[in-house]
Amino acid sequence: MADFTRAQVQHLARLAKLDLTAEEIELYQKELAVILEFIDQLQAVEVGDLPPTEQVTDLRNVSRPDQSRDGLVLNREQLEANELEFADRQIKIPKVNL
Amino acid sequence: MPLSLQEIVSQVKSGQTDPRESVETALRKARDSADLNIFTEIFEEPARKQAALLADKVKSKQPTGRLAGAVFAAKDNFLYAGTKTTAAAPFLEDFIAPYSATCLQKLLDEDAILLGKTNLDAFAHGTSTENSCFGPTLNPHDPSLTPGGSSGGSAAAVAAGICPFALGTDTGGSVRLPASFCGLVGFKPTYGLLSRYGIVAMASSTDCVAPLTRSPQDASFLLELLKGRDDLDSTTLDGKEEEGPRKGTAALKVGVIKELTAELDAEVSKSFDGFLDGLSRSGHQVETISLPNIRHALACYYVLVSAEISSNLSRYDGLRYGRKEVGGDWQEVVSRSRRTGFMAENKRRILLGTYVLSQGYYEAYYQKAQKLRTLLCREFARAFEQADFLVSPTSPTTAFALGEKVGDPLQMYLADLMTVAASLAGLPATNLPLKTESLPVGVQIMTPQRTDGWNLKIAEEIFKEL
Repeated sequence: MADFTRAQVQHLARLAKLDLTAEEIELYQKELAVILEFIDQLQAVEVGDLPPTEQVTDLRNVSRPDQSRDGLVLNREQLEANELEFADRQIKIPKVNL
Repeated sequence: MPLSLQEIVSQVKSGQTDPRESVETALRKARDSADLNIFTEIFEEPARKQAALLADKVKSKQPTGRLAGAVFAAKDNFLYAGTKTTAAAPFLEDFIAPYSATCLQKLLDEDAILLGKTNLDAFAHGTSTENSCFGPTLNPHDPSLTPGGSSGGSAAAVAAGICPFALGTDTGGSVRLPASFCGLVGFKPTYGLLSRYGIVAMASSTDCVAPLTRSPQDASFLLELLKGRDDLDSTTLDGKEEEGPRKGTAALKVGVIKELTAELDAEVSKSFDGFLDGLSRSGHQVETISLPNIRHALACYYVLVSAEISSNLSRYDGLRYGRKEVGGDWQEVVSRSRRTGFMAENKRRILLGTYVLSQGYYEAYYQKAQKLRTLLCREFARAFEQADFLVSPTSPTTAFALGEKVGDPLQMYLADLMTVAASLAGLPATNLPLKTESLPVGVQIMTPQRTDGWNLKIAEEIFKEL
């Protein structure tokens, strides 16, 4: 488990849409192996049938009225400040090649 | 003795202190501390303008807010409308916030004056502020040392005497650790008590807005102004304090967490022993309590938090906002923007998070860690049946040297050894600075969820005796 291959790092990078250089792949390979060895201590911990904790408040299904509110919707100017390209009311992004 | 926040405000309201002078003094001190690399941006003219408007209000006897004239700084992961929020990462270096964080706005609405934004580890990933794309912040006590992280800039701003308080965020210790390295009070509230709206998200189930102050009393004062339900953050709690067997602050049972007192630096060990003696002398009953699985809290934390980070940072795609590497198709734009927009530590955590969530590893890591989190919460609950409050040192060491741990990510993670458990359990936890001869040492006071006011009262009583 503590060994981390180049292929594994590349696989993760692909999943996470991270373009890594060859040096980065080598570096993270080494560093993640060390970190994973530390994290592997979890394997020995007995948790039995305990339920998983997702969050530590006891809030459930918090909702609000389905109404738009002033100041919560970005206007065109604010979006343009982020250097977005528009075509009418749609935002243009680079072509998706599947 | 520095003035309390309430004293500062009362002097402004009475006309005794002119807020314009407060701002000039703060600006001068900020300039004098430029070498410490505390700020990512200083709002010189806006702060002066705010002060002038406030001075007019005071002069014409108009009502002013409960923080009138209090100058403060905010970590640069708090969005402030119309200004840059960089999160100290290339991705957001030029990003202008379209709205303001709720907690920031609450303070501004009370006439506090925002001096500037402070440096942090990029995206708040770090324990030393060395992961910032703007370079590290230096510790005001000794500039060869780190101020801790990730809220190092905010801690340094208060420790350098530039402003009486600063806002930070604490996900696994990011306010408590710098507080302990810089000799300040760092208060992490019950998870959900303070709104996270407008904070650059790191780990959604443990992120907390957390103030750095010079006294527990100041933290209490800020808590009252900041807490409460926010429609814009559905994980917020109402501000009601938990009722229960809260017996005031005298003659309490103190639980020293056994597993968190091993492997301490000599200085920390000595100061911590002195602290425990002081508690006994004050009439508290000090006992050692074991939380056997707390030794796995750090591993648990890094699995869960990396997973949440990998999810939260997927929004940085170069398509919506922030840095964009143009050229090529969608995949190329996204992957390249993420290559140049993130710092190494961000990538490390994204990769780790992706791993623990990926097929074949999800059960062994992520689900396991979620169950361990349940176990930890129960261990804390049992501990609170035996003790009124729990203590530990905040860090096994005093502030470490710049450059000492940058080459070893795991060593950097270990700096949070004492602080992550309270984050996982959502408990209020306060770093209290002890009186030391050389470098600051902090201790951590933990109480059950929703006993924040009580936690700070206990801290206040102890602080007086130090």
